[in-house]
Amino acid sequence: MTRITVKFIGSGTSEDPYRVNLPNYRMIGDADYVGKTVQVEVPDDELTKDKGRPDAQRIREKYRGQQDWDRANVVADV
Amino acid sequence: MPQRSNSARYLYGDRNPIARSIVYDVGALAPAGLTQRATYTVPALKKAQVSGACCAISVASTAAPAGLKGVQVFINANAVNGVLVDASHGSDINTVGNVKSVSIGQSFFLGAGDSASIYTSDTGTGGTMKFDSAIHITEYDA
Repeated sequence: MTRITVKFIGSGTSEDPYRVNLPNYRMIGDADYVGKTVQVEVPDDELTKDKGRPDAQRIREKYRGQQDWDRANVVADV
Repeated sequence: MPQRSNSARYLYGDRNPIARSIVYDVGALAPAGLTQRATYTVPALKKAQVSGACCAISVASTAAPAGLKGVQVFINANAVNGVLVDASHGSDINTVGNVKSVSIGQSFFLGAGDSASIYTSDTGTGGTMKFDSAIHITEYDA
């Protein structure tokens, strides 16, 4: 697991909760609800080789065939 | 020594098991809308066993006024989202140290694409809450 800072999405409602657009993560502490950023831990095999950001291709391969993750532009902004 | 059932396959616990438990533990959070704090999704060609889950919430500092606050474990299986464990306070509980905790032992399975997640929420004004939650997960070859 590697810690990175990412943007999150959502509006905080039950229909649209605040969340990170990644299949596997753990928030560290609280989020910045003004800037909509949060520090998360993400598995190393879902990050680029330099572990600086989520890797869309690796995520698509790991979760291939799954409607939510095997698609283009799936990765959270950094 | 890996164990076999009557079939030729190893039992799930001996098919390259990996601990994938997720935890969210924070001492004093200000009120915020429903937030997915942690999530685990089963990868392709894998399955996972959920063998336990717990949630605990306590008042760290009083709110004015207090709102509904809680921490929940959700399971999303076959695109159906449901609460597995829910530790919530009503607005009437607003004294430092008030605690609610729920824990369960489980033994059920998630297929590829299913997920387990931890959510928190607090609709109060001011004040802080302590949240603790964990889901024990073992991932193995499908």
